[in-house]
Amino acid sequence: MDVIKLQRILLSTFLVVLSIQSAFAEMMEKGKTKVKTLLNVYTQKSSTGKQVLDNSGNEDVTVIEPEIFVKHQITADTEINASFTIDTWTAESDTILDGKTGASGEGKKGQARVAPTIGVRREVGKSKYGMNLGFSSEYDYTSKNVSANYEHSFADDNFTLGLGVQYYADTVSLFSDITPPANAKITKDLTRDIYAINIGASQILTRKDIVEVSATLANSKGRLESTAGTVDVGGTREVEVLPGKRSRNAISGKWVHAFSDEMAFNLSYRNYFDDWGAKAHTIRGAYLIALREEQDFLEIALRYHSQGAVDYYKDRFGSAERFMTSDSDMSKFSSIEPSIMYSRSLGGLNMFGVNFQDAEWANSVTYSKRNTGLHYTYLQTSLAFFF
Amino acid sequence: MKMLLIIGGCLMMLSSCANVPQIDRGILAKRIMQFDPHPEETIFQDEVRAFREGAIGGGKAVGGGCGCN
Repeated sequence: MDVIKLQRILLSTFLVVLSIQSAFAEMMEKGKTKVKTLLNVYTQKSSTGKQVLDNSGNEDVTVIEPEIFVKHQITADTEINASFTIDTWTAESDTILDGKTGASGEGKKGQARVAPTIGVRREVGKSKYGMNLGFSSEYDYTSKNVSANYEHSFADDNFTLGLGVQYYADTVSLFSDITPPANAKITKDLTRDIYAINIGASQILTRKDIVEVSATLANSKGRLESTAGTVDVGGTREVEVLPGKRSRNAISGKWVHAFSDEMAFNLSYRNYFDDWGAKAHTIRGAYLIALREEQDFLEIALRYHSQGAVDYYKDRFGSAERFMTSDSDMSKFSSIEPSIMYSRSLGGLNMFGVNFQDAEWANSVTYSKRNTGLHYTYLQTSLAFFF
Repeated sequence: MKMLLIIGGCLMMLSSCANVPQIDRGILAKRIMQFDPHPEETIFQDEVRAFREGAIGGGKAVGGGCGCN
Protein backbone atom coordinates (compact mmCIF):
# COMPACT_ATOMS: atom_id res chain seq x y z
CA MET A 1 0.00 0.00 0.00
CA ASP A 2 1.57 3.30 -0.99
CA VAL A 3 1.88 6.23 1.36
CA ILE A 4 -0.73 8.41 -0.39
CA LYS A 5 -3.32 5.64 -0.21
CA LEU A 6 -2.58 5.09 3.48
CA GLN A 7 -2.88 8.82 4.16
CA ARG A 8 -6.23 8.96 2.34
CA ILE A 9 -7.58 6.03 4.36
CA LEU A 10 -6.37 7.61 7.62
CA LEU A 11 -7.92 10.94 6.72
CA SER A 12 -11.25 9.40 5.70
CA THR A 13 -11.36 7.32 8.86
CA PHE A 14 -10.72 10.31 11.08
CA LEU A 15 -13.35 12.42 9.32
CA VAL A 16 -15.98 9.72 9.68
CA VAL A 17 -15.19 8.74 13.25
CA LEU A 18 -14.62 12.19 14.63
CA SER A 19 -16.81 15.22 14.61
CA ILE A 20 -15.42 18.14 16.53
CA GLN A 21 -13.91 21.51 17.28
CA SER A 22 -12.42 22.83 20.46
CA ALA A 23 -11.64 26.47 19.75
CA PHE A 24 -13.36 27.75 22.85
CA ALA A 25 -12.33 26.55 26.28
CA GLU A 26 -15.39 25.96 28.42
CA MET A 27 -19.05 25.25 27.75
CA MET A 28 -21.51 28.03 28.65
CA GLU A 29 -24.87 27.74 30.39
CA LYS A 30 -27.69 26.35 28.26
CA GLY A 31 -29.37 29.09 26.19
CA LYS A 32 -26.51 31.54 26.50
CA THR A 33 -24.95 33.28 23.50
CA LYS A 34 -21.54 34.90 23.09
CA VAL A 35 -20.86 37.45 20.37
CA LYS A 36 -17.43 38.85 19.59
CA THR A 37 -16.65 41.43 16.94
CA LEU A 38 -13.04 41.78 15.89
CA LEU A 39 -11.35 44.25 13.57
CA ASN A 40 -7.90 43.42 12.18
CA VAL A 41 -5.91 46.12 10.39
CA TYR A 42 -2.68 44.95 8.75
CA THR A 43 -0.11 47.14 7.00
CA GLN A 44 3.05 45.80 5.39
CA LYS A 45 5.96 47.71 3.90
CA SER A 46 8.79 46.27 1.83
CA SER A 47 10.91 47.14 -1.18
CA THR A 48 12.95 43.93 -1.23
CA GLY A 49 10.60 41.35 -2.78
CA LYS A 50 12.59 39.55 -5.48
CA GLN A 51 9.40 37.97 -6.88
CA VAL A 52 7.91 41.28 -7.99
CA LEU A 53 7.51 41.52 -11.75
CA ASP A 54 8.61 45.11 -12.31
CA ASN A 55 11.78 44.69 -10.21
CA SER A 56 10.57 47.40 -7.84
CA GLY A 57 10.57 44.94 -4.93
CA ASN A 58 7.39 46.62 -3.71
CA GLU A 59 5.45 44.31 -1.37
CA ASP A 60 3.28 46.94 0.30
CA VAL A 61 -0.09 45.61 1.46
CA THR A 62 -2.90 47.05 3.58
CA VAL A 63 -5.65 44.72 4.82
CA ILE A 64 -8.76 45.73 6.75
CA GLU A 65 -10.61 42.71 8.10
CA PRO A 66 -13.76 42.90 10.22
CA GLU A 67 -14.89 39.59 11.73
CA ILE A 68 -17.76 38.42 13.88
CA PHE A 69 -17.82 35.25 16.01
CA VAL A 70 -21.02 33.86 17.51
CA LYS A 71 -21.47 30.81 19.70
CA HIS A 72 -24.65 29.56 21.27
CA GLN A 73 -25.19 26.83 23.85
CA ILE A 74 -28.14 24.81 22.58
CA THR A 75 -28.03 22.14 25.29
CA ALA A 76 -25.98 21.61 28.44
CA ASP A 77 -23.34 19.70 26.48
CA THR A 78 -23.63 21.02 22.90
CA GLU A 79 -22.53 24.31 21.44
CA ILE A 80 -22.89 25.66 17.91
CA ASN A 81 -20.64 28.38 16.59
CA ALA A 82 -20.22 30.48 13.49
CA SER A 83 -17.98 33.22 12.19
CA PHE A 84 -18.03 35.58 9.25
CA THR A 85 -15.04 37.48 7.88
CA ILE A 86 -14.75 40.15 5.21
CA ASP A 87 -11.32 41.31 4.08
CA THR A 88 -10.77 44.35 1.95
CA TRP A 89 -7.28 45.22 0.90
CA THR A 90 -5.04 47.26 -1.27
CA ALA A 91 -1.93 45.59 -2.62
CA GLU A 92 0.54 47.50 -4.69
CA SER A 93 2.36 44.53 -6.16
CA ASP A 94 0.52 41.26 -5.71
CA THR A 95 -1.31 41.60 -9.02
CA ILE A 96 1.02 43.84 -10.93
CA LEU A 97 0.75 42.04 -14.24
CA ASP A 98 -1.49 44.39 -16.15
CA GLY A 99 -3.19 47.73 -16.03
CA LYS A 100 -6.43 46.29 -14.74
CA THR A 101 -5.02 44.42 -11.81
CA GLY A 102 -1.86 46.07 -10.67
CA ALA A 103 -0.04 49.16 -9.57
CA SER A 104 1.84 49.19 -12.88
CA GLY A 105 -1.42 50.39 -14.33
CA GLU A 106 -4.21 51.87 -12.28
CA GLY A 107 -3.71 49.55 -9.38
CA LYS A 108 -6.38 47.30 -8.00
CA LYS A 109 -8.03 48.78 -4.95
CA GLY A 110 -10.74 47.45 -2.71
CA GLN A 111 -10.24 43.77 -3.34
CA ALA A 112 -12.31 41.60 -1.04
CA ARG A 113 -12.45 38.17 0.57
CA VAL A 114 -15.42 36.63 2.36
CA ALA A 115 -14.95 33.69 4.70
CA PRO A 116 -17.84 32.17 6.69
CA THR A 117 -17.46 29.17 9.05
CA ILE A 118 -19.93 27.06 11.02
CA GLY A 119 -19.23 24.46 13.68
CA VAL A 120 -20.52 22.31 16.48
CA ARG A 121 -18.86 21.13 19.68
CA ARG A 122 -19.95 18.54 22.22
CA GLU A 123 -18.69 17.51 25.60
CA VAL A 124 -19.50 14.01 26.82
CA GLY A 125 -17.89 12.82 30.04
CA LYS A 126 -14.13 13.15 29.70
CA SER A 127 -14.30 13.73 25.95
CA LYS A 128 -14.80 16.80 23.79
CA TYR A 129 -15.36 16.58 20.08
CA GLY A 130 -16.48 18.84 17.30
CA MET A 131 -16.42 19.72 13.65
CA ASN A 132 -16.11 22.91 11.60
CA LEU A 133 -16.83 23.78 7.97
CA GLY A 134 -15.32 26.83 6.32
CA PHE A 135 -15.32 28.65 3.01
CA SER A 136 -13.13 31.45 1.75
CA SER A 137 -13.34 33.30 -1.55
CA GLU A 138 -11.19 36.02 -3.09
CA TYR A 139 -10.43 36.94 -6.71
CA ASP A 140 -7.43 34.60 -7.09
CA TYR A 141 -8.10 32.01 -4.37
CA THR A 142 -10.97 29.92 -3.01
CA SER A 143 -11.00 27.47 -0.15
CA LYS A 144 -13.49 24.92 1.13
CA ASN A 145 -12.32 23.33 4.34
CA VAL A 146 -13.41 20.92 7.03
CA SER A 147 -11.78 20.27 10.37
CA ALA A 148 -12.49 17.83 13.17
CA ASN A 149 -10.97 17.51 16.63
CA TYR A 150 -11.22 15.09 19.49
CA GLU A 151 -9.73 15.30 22.93
CA HIS A 152 -9.95 13.08 25.98
CA SER A 153 -8.74 13.75 29.49
CA PHE A 154 -7.19 11.17 31.76
CA ALA A 155 -5.89 10.93 35.34
CA ASP A 156 -8.54 13.14 36.89
CA ASP A 157 -8.11 15.71 34.09
CA ASN A 158 -4.36 16.07 34.69
CA PHE A 159 -3.49 14.67 31.27
CA THR A 160 -5.30 15.48 28.02
CA LEU A 161 -4.73 13.90 24.65
CA GLY A 162 -6.02 15.56 21.48
CA LEU A 163 -6.24 14.73 17.81
CA GLY A 164 -7.28 17.03 14.98
CA VAL A 165 -7.57 16.72 11.22
CA GLN A 166 -8.03 19.43 8.62
CA TYR A 167 -8.76 19.20 4.92
CA TYR A 168 -8.67 22.14 2.51
CA ALA A 169 -9.94 21.85 -1.07
CA ASP A 170 -8.54 25.09 -2.47
CA THR A 171 -8.27 26.62 -5.93
CA VAL A 172 -5.79 29.20 -7.12
CA SER A 173 -5.55 31.42 -10.22
CA LEU A 174 -2.12 31.56 -11.86
CA PHE A 175 -0.61 33.68 -14.61
CA SER A 176 1.26 32.33 -17.64
CA ASP A 177 2.98 33.88 -20.67
CA ILE A 178 3.97 36.96 -18.72
CA THR A 179 6.48 38.31 -21.24
CA PRO A 180 5.36 40.88 -22.15
CA PRO A 181 3.14 41.37 -19.06
CA ALA A 182 0.37 42.98 -21.11
CA ASN A 183 -0.22 39.62 -22.83
CA ALA A 184 -0.31 37.62 -19.59
CA LYS A 185 -3.04 35.02 -19.36
CA ILE A 186 -4.63 33.94 -16.12
CA THR A 187 -5.92 30.40 -15.57
CA LYS A 188 -8.50 30.03 -12.84
CA ASP A 189 -9.59 27.16 -10.58
CA LEU A 190 -6.31 25.24 -10.48
CA THR A 191 -6.59 22.79 -7.61
CA ARG A 192 -4.59 22.75 -4.40
CA ASP A 193 -5.43 20.17 -1.71
CA ILE A 194 -4.06 20.39 1.80
CA TYR A 195 -4.62 17.88 4.55
CA ALA A 196 -3.16 18.01 8.01
CA ILE A 197 -3.10 15.94 11.18
CA ASN A 198 -2.33 17.43 14.56
CA ILE A 199 -1.61 15.39 17.68
CA GLY A 200 -1.29 17.14 21.00
CA ALA A 201 -1.10 16.47 24.71
CA SER A 202 -1.16 18.64 27.81
CA GLN A 203 -0.14 17.80 31.34
CA ILE A 204 -0.51 19.61 34.65
CA LEU A 205 2.93 19.47 36.26
CA THR A 206 2.35 21.35 39.51
CA ARG A 207 -0.32 23.71 40.86
CA LYS A 208 1.54 26.49 38.99
CA ASP A 209 2.81 24.74 35.86
CA ILE A 210 1.20 23.23 32.81
CA VAL A 211 2.82 22.04 29.57
CA GLU A 212 1.60 21.16 26.10
CA VAL A 213 3.36 19.37 23.25
CA SER A 214 2.03 18.91 19.72
CA ALA A 215 3.06 17.65 16.32
CA THR A 216 1.61 18.72 12.98
CA LEU A 217 1.94 16.88 9.68
CA ALA A 218 0.56 18.74 6.65
CA ASN A 219 0.66 17.59 3.04
CA SER A 220 -0.15 19.80 0.08
CA LYS A 221 -0.55 18.79 -3.54
CA GLY A 222 -1.61 20.49 -6.74
CA ARG A 223 -0.53 23.94 -7.89
CA LEU A 224 1.49 25.43 -5.03
CA GLU A 225 2.79 28.54 -6.80
CA SER A 226 1.69 32.08 -5.91
CA THR A 227 -0.50 34.05 -8.30
CA ALA A 228 1.95 36.88 -8.88
CA GLY A 229 5.18 35.04 -8.11
CA THR A 230 7.81 35.57 -10.80
CA VAL A 231 11.55 34.90 -11.15
CA ASP A 232 14.32 36.72 -13.00
CA VAL A 233 15.89 34.27 -15.49
CA GLY A 234 18.86 35.90 -17.20
CA GLY A 235 17.16 39.30 -17.11
CA THR A 236 13.75 38.07 -18.31
CA ARG A 237 10.80 37.64 -15.96
CA GLU A 238 9.18 34.18 -15.91
CA VAL A 239 6.53 32.69 -13.63
CA GLU A 240 7.79 30.72 -10.65
CA VAL A 241 7.65 26.93 -10.88
CA LEU A 242 7.31 24.75 -7.79
CA PRO A 243 6.82 21.01 -7.17
CA GLY A 244 3.28 19.64 -7.07
CA LYS A 245 3.70 18.23 -3.56
CA ARG A 246 4.95 19.51 -0.26
CA SER A 247 5.14 17.68 3.06
CA ARG A 248 5.45 19.95 6.08
CA ASN A 249 6.17 18.94 9.68
CA ALA A 250 6.31 20.78 12.96
CA ILE A 251 6.89 19.89 16.58
CA SER A 252 6.00 22.45 19.20
CA GLY A 253 5.96 22.78 22.96
CA LYS A 254 4.47 25.29 25.36
CA TRP A 255 5.01 25.86 29.07
CA VAL A 256 2.91 28.16 31.25
CA HIS A 257 4.21 29.02 34.70
CA ALA A 258 2.46 31.16 37.32
CA PHE A 259 4.66 33.48 39.35
CA SER A 260 1.67 34.49 41.46
CA ASP A 261 -2.13 34.63 41.31
CA GLU A 262 -1.85 37.62 38.98
CA MET A 263 1.19 36.96 36.81
CA ALA A 264 2.24 34.09 34.54
CA PHE A 265 4.86 33.43 31.88
CA ASN A 266 4.01 31.62 28.66
CA LEU A 267 6.96 30.18 26.74
CA SER A 268 6.63 28.32 23.44
CA TYR A 269 8.98 26.84 20.87
CA ARG A 270 8.36 25.34 17.42
CA ASN A 271 10.69 23.37 15.18
CA TYR A 272 9.60 23.20 11.54
CA PHE A 273 10.97 21.28 8.56
CA ASP A 274 9.67 20.26 5.14
CA ASP A 275 10.68 18.31 2.04
CA TRP A 276 11.43 21.50 0.10
CA GLY A 277 14.44 21.99 2.36
CA ALA A 278 12.97 24.71 4.57
CA LYS A 279 13.78 24.66 8.28
CA ALA A 280 12.60 27.09 10.91
CA HIS A 281 12.88 27.76 14.63
CA THR A 282 10.36 29.94 16.40
CA ILE A 283 10.38 30.94 20.05
CA ARG A 284 7.89 33.16 21.86
CA GLY A 285 7.74 34.39 25.43
CA ALA A 286 4.85 36.30 26.97
CA TYR A 287 4.07 37.80 30.34
CA LEU A 288 0.39 37.60 31.22
CA ILE A 289 -0.80 39.88 33.98
CA ALA A 290 -4.25 40.04 35.60
CA LEU A 291 -5.26 43.57 36.68
CA ARG A 292 -8.16 45.20 38.58
CA GLU A 293 -8.92 42.13 40.68
CA GLU A 294 -8.59 39.90 37.60
CA GLN A 295 -11.17 41.80 35.57
CA ASP A 296 -8.56 43.08 33.11
CA PHE A 297 -5.77 41.30 31.30
CA LEU A 298 -2.42 42.48 29.95
CA GLU A 299 -0.09 40.48 27.71
CA ILE A 300 3.38 41.57 26.67
CA ALA A 301 5.10 39.21 24.24
CA LEU A 302 8.23 38.87 22.14
CA ARG A 303 8.55 36.37 19.29
CA TYR A 304 11.65 35.41 17.30
CA HIS A 305 11.50 33.46 14.04
CA SER A 306 14.41 32.19 11.97
CA GLN A 307 14.06 30.22 8.75
CA GLY A 308 16.25 28.86 5.98
CA ALA A 309 15.37 29.21 2.30
CA VAL A 310 13.68 26.42 0.35
CA ASP A 311 15.97 24.51 -2.02
CA TYR A 312 14.40 26.17 -5.06
CA TYR A 313 14.95 29.76 -3.93
CA LYS A 314 17.35 32.19 -5.58
CA ASP A 315 17.26 35.97 -5.85
CA ARG A 316 17.80 35.53 -9.62
CA PHE A 317 18.50 32.61 -11.95
CA GLY A 318 21.24 32.46 -14.59
CA SER A 319 19.28 29.93 -16.64
CA ALA A 320 15.92 28.18 -16.34
CA GLU A 321 15.75 25.39 -13.76
CA ARG A 322 13.10 22.75 -13.18
CA PHE A 323 11.84 24.48 -10.02
CA MET A 324 12.38 28.19 -9.36
CA THR A 325 11.07 30.71 -6.86
CA SER A 326 12.14 34.12 -5.63
CA ASP A 327 9.24 34.46 -3.18
CA SER A 328 10.52 36.48 -0.22
CA ASP A 329 8.38 34.40 2.17
CA MET A 330 10.44 31.33 1.18
CA SER A 331 13.83 33.04 1.49
CA LYS A 332 16.25 32.89 4.39
CA PHE A 333 15.40 35.49 7.03
CA SER A 334 14.89 36.10 10.70
CA SER A 335 12.27 38.31 12.29
CA ILE A 336 11.57 39.81 15.67
CA GLU A 337 8.01 40.50 16.75
CA PRO A 338 7.02 42.41 19.90
CA SER A 339 3.34 42.68 20.79
CA ILE A 340 1.13 44.03 23.54
CA MET A 341 -2.53 43.34 24.32
CA TYR A 342 -4.82 44.90 26.89
CA SER A 343 -8.27 43.53 27.60
CA ARG A 344 -10.70 45.52 29.76
CA SER A 345 -13.89 44.28 31.36
CA LEU A 346 -16.83 46.66 30.79
CA GLY A 347 -19.34 44.66 32.85
CA GLY A 348 -22.97 45.06 31.80
CA LEU A 349 -23.64 47.02 28.63
CA ASN A 350 -26.83 48.45 27.19
CA MET A 351 -26.86 48.68 23.40
CA PHE A 352 -29.87 49.25 21.16
CA GLY A 353 -32.09 48.91 24.22
CA VAL A 354 -30.76 45.42 25.00
CA ASN A 355 -28.80 44.52 28.12
CA PHE A 356 -25.62 42.56 27.45
CA GLN A 357 -23.53 40.87 30.14
CA ASP A 358 -19.82 40.56 30.80
CA ALA A 359 -18.75 42.86 27.99
CA GLU A 360 -15.02 42.94 27.23
CA TRP A 361 -13.05 45.34 25.07
CA ALA A 362 -9.58 44.25 23.92
CA ASN A 363 -6.90 46.00 21.91
CA SER A 364 -3.56 44.78 20.69
CA VAL A 365 -0.72 45.90 18.47
CA THR A 366 1.92 43.65 16.91
CA TYR A 367 4.99 44.77 15.00
CA SER A 368 7.23 42.41 13.04
CA LYS A 369 10.51 43.26 11.34
CA ARG A 370 12.66 41.00 9.18
CA ASN A 371 16.39 41.38 8.73
CA THR A 372 15.64 41.67 5.00
CA GLY A 373 13.78 44.94 5.42
CA LEU A 374 10.15 43.76 5.24
CA HIS A 375 8.12 44.88 8.22
CA TYR A 376 4.45 44.83 9.12
CA THR A 377 2.17 46.03 11.87
CA TYR A 378 -1.29 44.87 12.74
CA LEU A 379 -3.84 46.26 15.13
CA GLN A 380 -6.64 44.15 16.57
CA THR A 381 -9.60 45.56 18.46
CA SER A 382 -12.51 43.49 19.70
CA LEU A 383 -15.73 43.78 21.67
CA ALA A 384 -17.24 40.65 23.21
CA PHE A 385 -20.44 40.22 25.20
CA PHE A 386 -22.95 37.63 26.37
CA PHE A 387 -26.73 37.56 26.42
CA MET B 1 9.84 7.52 12.27
CA LYS B 2 12.05 10.02 14.11
CA MET B 3 9.03 12.25 14.66
CA LEU B 4 6.93 9.33 15.96
CA LEU B 5 9.66 8.45 18.48
CA ILE B 6 9.82 12.04 19.71
CA ILE B 7 6.04 12.24 20.05
CA GLY B 8 5.87 8.86 21.78
CA GLY B 9 8.64 9.83 24.18
CA CYS B 10 6.97 13.13 25.08
CA LEU B 11 3.61 11.45 25.66
CA MET B 12 5.16 8.78 27.90
CA MET B 13 6.98 11.40 29.95
CA LEU B 14 3.89 13.57 30.33
CA SER B 15 1.54 10.73 31.23
CA SER B 16 3.88 9.55 33.99
CA CYS B 17 3.74 12.86 35.91
CA ALA B 18 2.25 12.98 39.42
CA ASN B 19 -1.35 14.23 39.56
CA VAL B 20 -2.38 17.59 41.02
CA PRO B 21 -5.71 17.28 42.89
CA GLN B 22 -8.71 19.34 41.73
CA ILE B 23 -8.67 21.42 44.92
CA ASP B 24 -5.15 22.68 44.16
CA ARG B 25 -5.93 23.90 40.64
CA GLY B 26 -7.19 27.39 41.49
CA ILE B 27 -4.36 29.19 39.71
CA LEU B 28 -4.43 26.81 36.74
CA ALA B 29 -8.06 27.76 36.05
CA LYS B 30 -7.22 31.45 35.61
CA ARG B 31 -7.07 33.16 32.23
CA ILE B 32 -3.37 33.93 32.58
CA MET B 33 -2.69 30.17 32.62
CA GLN B 34 -4.50 29.35 29.39
CA PHE B 35 -2.35 28.13 26.50
CA ASP B 36 -4.20 30.57 24.23
CA PRO B 37 -6.03 33.28 26.21
CA HIS B 38 -7.42 35.00 23.06
CA PRO B 39 -8.28 32.31 20.46
CA GLU B 40 -10.25 34.54 18.08
CA GLU B 41 -7.35 37.00 17.72
CA THR B 42 -4.99 34.06 17.23
CA ILE B 43 -6.85 32.91 14.09
CA PHE B 44 -5.75 36.03 12.18
CA GLN B 45 -2.22 35.86 13.61
CA ASP B 46 -1.90 32.22 12.49
CA GLU B 47 -3.12 33.10 8.99
CA VAL B 48 -0.62 35.91 8.60
CA ARG B 49 2.28 33.79 9.86
CA ALA B 50 1.32 30.77 7.72
CA PHE B 51 1.55 32.95 4.61
CA ARG B 52 4.42 35.22 5.61
CA GLU B 53 6.71 32.53 6.98
CA GLY B 54 5.73 29.37 5.15
CA ALA B 55 6.20 27.44 8.39
CA ILE B 56 3.04 25.99 9.91
CA GLY B 57 2.23 24.01 13.05
CA GLY B 58 1.61 24.97 16.64
CA GLY B 59 -1.43 26.88 15.36
CA LYS B 60 -4.60 26.24 13.42
CA ALA B 61 -3.93 27.75 9.98
CA VAL B 62 -2.38 25.41 7.44
CA GLY B 63 -4.27 26.54 4.33
CA GLY B 64 -7.22 28.53 3.11
CA GLY B 65 -7.24 32.10 1.95
CA CYS B 66 -5.65 35.18 3.43
CA GLY B 67 -5.96 38.73 2.16
CA CYS B 68 -2.30 39.24 3.05
CA ASN B 69 -0.75 37.01 0.39
